[in-house]
Amino acid sequence: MNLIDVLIVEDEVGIAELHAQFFRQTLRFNPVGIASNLVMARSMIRIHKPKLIILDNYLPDGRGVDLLREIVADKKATQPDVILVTASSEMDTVKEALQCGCFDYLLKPISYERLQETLNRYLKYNCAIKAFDNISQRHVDDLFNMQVRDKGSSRLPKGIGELTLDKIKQVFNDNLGLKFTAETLGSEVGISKTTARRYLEYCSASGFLVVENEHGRVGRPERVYVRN
Amino acid sequence: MKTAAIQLINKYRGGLSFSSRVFMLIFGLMFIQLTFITTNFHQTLLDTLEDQVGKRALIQAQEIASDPELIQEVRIKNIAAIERVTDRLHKISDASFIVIGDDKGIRLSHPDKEKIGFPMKGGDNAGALQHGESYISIREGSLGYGVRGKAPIVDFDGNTIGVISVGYLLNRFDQWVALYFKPLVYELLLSLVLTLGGAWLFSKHIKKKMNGMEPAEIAFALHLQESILSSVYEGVIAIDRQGKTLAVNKSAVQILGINQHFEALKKNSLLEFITNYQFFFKTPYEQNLKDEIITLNGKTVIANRVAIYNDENLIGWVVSFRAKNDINSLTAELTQIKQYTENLRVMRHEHANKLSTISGLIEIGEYNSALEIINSENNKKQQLIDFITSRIRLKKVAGILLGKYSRAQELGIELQFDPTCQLLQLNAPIESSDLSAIIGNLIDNAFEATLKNPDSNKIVTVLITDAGNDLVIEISDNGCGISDDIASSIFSRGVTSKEDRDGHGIGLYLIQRYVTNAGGVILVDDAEPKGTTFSIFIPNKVTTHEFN
Repeated sequence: MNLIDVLIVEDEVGIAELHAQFFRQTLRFNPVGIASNLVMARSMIRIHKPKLIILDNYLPDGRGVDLLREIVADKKATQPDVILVTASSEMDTVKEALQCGCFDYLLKPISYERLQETLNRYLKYNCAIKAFDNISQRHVDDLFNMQVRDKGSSRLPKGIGELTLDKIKQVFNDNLGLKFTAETLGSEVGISKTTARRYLEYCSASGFLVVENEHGRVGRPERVYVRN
Repeated sequence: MKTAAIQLINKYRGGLSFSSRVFMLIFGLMFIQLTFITTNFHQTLLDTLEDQVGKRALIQAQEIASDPELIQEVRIKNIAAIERVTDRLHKISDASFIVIGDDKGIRLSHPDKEKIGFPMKGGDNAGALQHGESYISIREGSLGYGVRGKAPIVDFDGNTIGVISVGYLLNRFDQWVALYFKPLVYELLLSLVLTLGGAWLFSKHIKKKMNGMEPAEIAFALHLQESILSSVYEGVIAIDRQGKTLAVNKSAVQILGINQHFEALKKNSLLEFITNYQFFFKTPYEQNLKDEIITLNGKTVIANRVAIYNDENLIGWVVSFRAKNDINSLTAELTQIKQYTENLRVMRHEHANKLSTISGLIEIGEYNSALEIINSENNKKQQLIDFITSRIRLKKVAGILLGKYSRAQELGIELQFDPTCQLLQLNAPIESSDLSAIIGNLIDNAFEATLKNPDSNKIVTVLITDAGNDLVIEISDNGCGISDDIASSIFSRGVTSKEDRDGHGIGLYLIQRYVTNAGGVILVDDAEPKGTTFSIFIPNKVTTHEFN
């Protein structure tokens, strides 16, 4: 199996060394270089052609996000994937990086446990890319989506409690044909409207309930749920 | 020194000043006209004189030729007697000379006695001697250049026996011309002097009216004025006392939303386009007004008024104004910066506390606890990012949610995402940018409402899911709620409780339109115990897969 070349872009020598150490311990990743600023990073990308870059956002000569932009914009070069590392207060940078399409975002201080998760995901993603060598990114995304969906259907998703769900199903089973809104169900079961909406939408997605949008009071339509 | 030299050069390069040019033009034109008139008059005078004098000479010649005594004397060529006659005639006539010749043209009488007996000069006797005609002749004679009347002397048998020539020499002419011409020359000189003075005064007057500026300078000043007017961010309107527009700039037109051609405004009274113009004519007229908050064309503006004077006379006012929102947003920005610094101070304090806890834990050997503390805060955010990026796969929507999350932190609000949130693909018939605008706007509304309720638990919940057949967006706040009086009209155009910021302020009116266009519905409900819940349901497109 080929090793995946990793470039570390980090201006703190100590942290960079720690990263390198971490990658050396893994079996699949090989740290090929440490760049302490954007200029070094650019030349190292050219020379080493790494497949993955751990990119710190805060560098002495600019922002990591800008390098990410350059990498994404450069259509000719083989595009390495980027894991952006930002301080936890820079949520706007995360937003920016997300729109540029970086592989993952880690907040400083980096938890190596979390980094390991990312790397596992990256390996899977890499396999998928190889397997579907010629098909579009869209399919790869679909593949990922599928995994998320599958996870949801196998057992109850987070936020859906078994107890509450049973209670709600009971109410609907007891009142066959009766229409409920989030409000009426909420007061019936004793949960907030927001929570009621969550469960009702979950039930309608799973096919237990049918939804109708009705014209209720003047100017205020209502969304009603009824047992399928 | 150098600039002075350059000015001088420019002056020469530019030629004469405008007033000098006006002066030269008027004076030059008048001069040419007068010269023309004078020349013409002089020529006419000469022609008239020649004609008149010629006739006079001819008539005299004819009269003398018909004198029987003279005829008799000429016939016998009695020179002494002829001379007596001509001497007498000389005394009563103003002619320069009277010459009498015989039938061969030999002088019988001449003012110069020595020339008697010699042939007459000029060669113009043929008509009189051979054909018996009388005529006027302008010739060079023995006495000089002159006008002469010629008449034949005919005896009682009808034979031409001689010729009489009565002449007026040119020096006599000159005297006449001088006589007639002198007053005219005086008049001409006088009018020339008057023209000179008039042209000078007129050019002076123009110069004064133009504030001593050259036309190029005036054009430049005008251009400069327009540039300055259009460059200022504030709306500027200058009006005269009748309300006629003197000047108006583009900012003013924009702020007031006047939908008129810029040039048309200058021609008409601006007040036709402005509602509520009392501020313009507020008494006392002379007083300058500063920073007054007024409403013009429905816009709240902060306006100033300065009176314009022309030599102590009030001729109008300059009103400048700026949309109040501009100033508000500046203030808001400043408040935000203050808030940010405050947050930073709090954060530093918390940080120091945490560091001391961590160092304490390390000292007592509780390494895992130390690690936990280090990661705990971070984990929350990392988990949120992971949650959003894995669940919301539309980049734009995920971006706006992250952005709003950090905005919430700045505002001290907790933005809670429902654990069932998911948006894997955009199946609903709506653009992702529109969708993120809708979501961003609803969250902003929720933030604003939350801040207005002092008893709020400061939690805003967001549910976005496309798990079912509909795309569901539900945003709940514990804010101030929607008052009943605007509840029925919140989706109408122009109803708002906030300023446009970040470009997300598309307003409920547009949200309603986006959602309706996508075939969805919006539900507005009260939240418990207080606040508002906005729910949007947009049906997913029927995919071919489901169709089959």
